[in-house]
Amino acid sequence: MTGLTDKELCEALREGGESRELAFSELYRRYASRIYQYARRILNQDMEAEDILQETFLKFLNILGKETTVIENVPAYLLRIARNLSLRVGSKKQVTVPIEDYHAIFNESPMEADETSKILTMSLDLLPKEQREALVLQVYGGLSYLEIADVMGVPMTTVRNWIVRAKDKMRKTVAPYFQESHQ
Amino acid sequence: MAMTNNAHSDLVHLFIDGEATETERNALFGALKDSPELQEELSSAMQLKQAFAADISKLQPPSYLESQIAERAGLIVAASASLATAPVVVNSISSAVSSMAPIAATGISKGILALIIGTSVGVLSTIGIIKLSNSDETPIATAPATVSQNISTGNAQAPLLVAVDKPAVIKTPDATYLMNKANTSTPENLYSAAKLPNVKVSEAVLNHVSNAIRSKAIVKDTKVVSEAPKEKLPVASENSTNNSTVINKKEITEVAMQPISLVMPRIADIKANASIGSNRESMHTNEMYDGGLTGFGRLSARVAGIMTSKLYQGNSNATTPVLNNFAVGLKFDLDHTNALGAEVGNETFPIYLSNRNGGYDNHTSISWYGLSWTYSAIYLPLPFDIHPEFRILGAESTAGPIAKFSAGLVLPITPRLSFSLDGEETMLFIQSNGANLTGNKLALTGAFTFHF
Repeated sequence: MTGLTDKELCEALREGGESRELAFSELYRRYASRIYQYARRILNQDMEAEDILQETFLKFLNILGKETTVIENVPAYLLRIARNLSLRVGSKKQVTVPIEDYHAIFNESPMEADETSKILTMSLDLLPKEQREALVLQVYGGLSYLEIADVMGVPMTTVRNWIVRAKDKMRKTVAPYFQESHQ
Repeated sequence: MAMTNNAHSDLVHLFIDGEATETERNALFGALKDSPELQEELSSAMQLKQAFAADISKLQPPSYLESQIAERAGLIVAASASLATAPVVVNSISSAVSSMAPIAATGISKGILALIIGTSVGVLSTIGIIKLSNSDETPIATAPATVSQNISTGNAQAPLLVAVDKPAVIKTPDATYLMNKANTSTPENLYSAAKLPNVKVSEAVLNHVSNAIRSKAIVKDTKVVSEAPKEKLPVASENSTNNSTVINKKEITEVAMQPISLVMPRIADIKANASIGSNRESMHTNEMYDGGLTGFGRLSARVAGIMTSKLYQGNSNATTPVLNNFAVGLKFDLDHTNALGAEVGNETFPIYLSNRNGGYDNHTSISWYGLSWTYSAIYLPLPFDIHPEFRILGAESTAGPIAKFSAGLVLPITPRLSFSLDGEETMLFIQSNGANLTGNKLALTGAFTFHF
């Protein structure tokens, strides 16, 4: 199955038979991490990210079983589902960064391995919502700007601006810590 | 045209992301030669990229999710996937199960559910049984060799819950979920285990797990699990009663299991809803689904009659009570969206049938019983996790065969309770003086459904 294209794997899933499990396994191997990483960084919750990953694949399989539409870009399609699910989850909770935590993080030194993730998470949370989402789709979801534009339903130039702005803010935010860790 | 510093900064990120055009790359390379600041930006942007890469490498989904999803999607048989990951594969001990929980073991595992609410509540509230013994005791159940060996040698890896019956019958998502969660002995896992249909656990274990979790106030729904304290279960008490757990001097370290009968919590919910009656269809069958609804079946009761319009044969002046439609149903979820149910009801349907005297007999209400199919469109979520639902029912009534078609919206209230509002068309087929007549009634119905 590893040599098959995404489209061929989807066909195998549609056709049924014993190859379905193998096809699913291969698609899961290819894209599960990206979906999980996207959801994990968007929602900041392990269990919720696991739920999103499960629901995304279940919904995807359900759609494959019901519709004959050819899915041209499987990872983008999966991430679109994951995004919709995450938005619903995210809308139920307010994501905030306590100012004490912010200062606590930024007063720590030097950086340790786990702190990289903490600082990135904190910095991501400080970004405007759209910039953060576009950036997470790009970095953790592995989508191109064009694919992100399609998933988010906005022009590519907008995505490009969001990501560039977001990365520039994050670069400036975390730069002092990289410098400190190198000293 | 000369580019601004900001524009060059943008190009740094576009270049690193592989999104810069040839022209933009050339512009960036040209600017980099003369700009130490831009070189510094490029360096820090690369560091940021490396930091992202390091973060990504740490974020990997748990390994059990793949088989769990595959099972929930029906791609593999539950037991094969689950048991493949379980450290100890346990065979059946059906005889022990039968002796421990005859009602649940036979009834639930075959999908045959008691129709009487009181009986159902009784079964649900039953607290059960897990047969385990320590090295000093002989297992009550006839456990397979591997299990017996583990137990008799005091192996700490011996399972707490023992697989029973034929593992292949496990088809529920929850079963897989637990099976995959079974490698640790956290309270949340056991709590989840306890919720499995056909699984019984000891009261001591239940109490401990419930207290441990509740103390953290994290039982928000049947999903439980996520943030429960990571603590070892204590040694169970020495007290043992007939058919109850015996777990002495042994830490529970694993949960490998398989259903026996229904389980645990939410008894308060059950009672509350049983007193209401209950409605009918609704929601999803699995905790992971929209609204967090859970369960393997639905106990539903409906009280309806608001805005009934009489389109049936008969006296248009006949009065109709405001509430004129009462029904109770028990449904078994076939999958996440489909449920088969058995329903009984009584409703106002004042038809008039011609009698031998040339007059009419007054049927002011009919009683009926029949089978229904319910489709929950959980993949069409609306705000507040509301989703559409459709139902078809065929039934025999005191006046003749009837058919019902309903469509409406379901609002999850709690993971186990939902409310639905439906438009319902009822068709009654009768014969009058040899002629086939159809009576129709449209009603707006409201219903509560308990998911167990």
